Amino acid sequence: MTTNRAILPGVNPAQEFSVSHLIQPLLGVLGVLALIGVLMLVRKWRTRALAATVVALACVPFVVSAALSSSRQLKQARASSTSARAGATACLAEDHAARLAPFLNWARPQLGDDVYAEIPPPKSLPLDVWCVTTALLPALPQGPGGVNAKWTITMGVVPADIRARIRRHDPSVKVFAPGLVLARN
Amino acid sequence: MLGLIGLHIVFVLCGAAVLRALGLLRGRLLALGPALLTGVMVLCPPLILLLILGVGLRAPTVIAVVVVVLVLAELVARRRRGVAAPARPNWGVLLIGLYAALGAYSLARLPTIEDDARIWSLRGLALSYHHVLAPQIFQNPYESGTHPVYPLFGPVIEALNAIAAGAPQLRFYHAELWILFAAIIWTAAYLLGGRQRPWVAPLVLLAVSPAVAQNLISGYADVLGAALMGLGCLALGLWQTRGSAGYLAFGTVALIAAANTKDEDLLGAIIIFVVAVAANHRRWREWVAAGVALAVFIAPWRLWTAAHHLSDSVQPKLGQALSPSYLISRHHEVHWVLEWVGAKVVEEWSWIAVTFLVLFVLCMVTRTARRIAAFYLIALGLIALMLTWLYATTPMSLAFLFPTSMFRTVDDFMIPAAFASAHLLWLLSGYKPRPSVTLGSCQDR
Repeated sequence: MTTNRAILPGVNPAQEFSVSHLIQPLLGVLGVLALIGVLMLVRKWRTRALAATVVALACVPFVVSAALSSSRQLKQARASSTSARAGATACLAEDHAARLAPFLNWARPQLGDDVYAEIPPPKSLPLDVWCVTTALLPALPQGPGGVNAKWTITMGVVPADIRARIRRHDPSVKVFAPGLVLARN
Repeated sequence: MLGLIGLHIVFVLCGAAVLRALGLLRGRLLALGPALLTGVMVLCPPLILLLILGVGLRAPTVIAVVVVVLVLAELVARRRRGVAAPARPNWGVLLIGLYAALGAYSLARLPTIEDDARIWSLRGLALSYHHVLAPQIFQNPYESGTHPVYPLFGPVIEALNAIAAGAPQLRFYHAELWILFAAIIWTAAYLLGGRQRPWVAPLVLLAVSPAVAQNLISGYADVLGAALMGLGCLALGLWQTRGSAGYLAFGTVALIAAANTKDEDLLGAIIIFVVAVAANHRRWREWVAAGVALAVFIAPWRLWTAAHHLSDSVQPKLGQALSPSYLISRHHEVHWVLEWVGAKVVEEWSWIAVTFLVLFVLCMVTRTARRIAAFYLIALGLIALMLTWLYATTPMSLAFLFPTSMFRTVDDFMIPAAFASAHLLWLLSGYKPRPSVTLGSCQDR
């Protein structure tokens, strides 16, 4: 058990268990109990109405808090609104690769819906290939299906054969920036 | 925009036809949310089945499925006699519609990030552009962060939006999730019915929103799957208390949708169905038909992924995971999982957890709806147990899984617990739906 906990430094679920965490729900449950008790046991409508009002008033802070929290989240979301293309490449920023977005936006229309081979980026850029795949769709990455790649796309590491083609000024190799190349196979 | 509006009108028309066929349609405006949701739930599973059979997801296919659903619904509606209808819904559900619209407006232009970019929208986008299960994406064992077996309910909705709008609508998908979640709460309130306490349903939506909003905003499938499962659980509960097979049929549709949304929802849906059947095994004509429908719309995707040798990286080896000696050897992990589950429940769902348990105890003490309370407790307890077993036997590192997924997976039993609490509260508060004069009784037992 000690070994397991050591895997997650600073995160101890047991610390999150606390009696104080249960006070709020317990108060809430008392409210629920009161509501049910009143509805089940009390016959006089005035008493029912009074009890329902008390319970409703007790719920006000909780409801206001929930409403404010939801409103805050929706407001933040609205502030994150973006254009369609920027939205499709937004995941690159999570891999600290936002600078690749212009290259992928440039390459995407040229690839069309062809299959491409992707030369992995350098280890210094731990880019998630599936984020790139989303950004380049409708073009498909080489994989199962038996279709050979029509294109090769590089994101930092340029293989020797493509470097040679660049040196020969091969028109089927397009260089967007150093290391960022789109080559027709 | 017009295309998206048109698609949602088609959802509503199909859903209304199905609700009418099941004897669950009551009121037009008040049934808007349930009809929209039902339309999505009945159209997507057949489209997934056709995709697996190699039929492309294109406009003619969608139109054909819509026509078949409408014709079948009409035929069933004509054959039905003396079915039960839900109690008349209240105006409070319209507040849910307003809340859904406000949320949808806020979420309609969000970027595609995190798992949405690498799993759900990747697949939705691939379907939108290629209309088939492109092998480069769907048969790739490393696809989507090694989750190649995740089902297709969300991606198909995304592709339907693309077909309707004429181009992929990645950003709108977040708003779609929000609308569907609100429609699920709306549907739960609609099924429970009652003109009294119209503020309860909007309040429930408001109460659970903070806990689920971020998941919907991120475009994840967890909340959608868990809420569909909760709705299915509630409908099967109503089947048991009100007797109408329409609720069983509706619950089955919801469970099929849930099982096609995410892996853990598949297991959860099966658990809920089996527990409900065990409690009502004598009504075998009804549940056998529902079980067949469940199998027809769930099994093909699993068979397809198995045929292509695809498996999820978090999935344990079944033989090993069921071995008692292996389970005993993992008792530290079990303990650790239970601690994390408890912590996440207390942190995010404490109100619902305690309310559900108190309502359960009240049902037992007051001898009110004890059978249905036991159904909910057993079903939800088994789902929690299933998750514990999955976490404790997974080959993946728990140090990675706990902080990245546990806060989402507890939704699988806590959101259904919210639906169950609503039903138990309804029963405990002595509410009796008014029996329909023309359509028979819908009295809770």
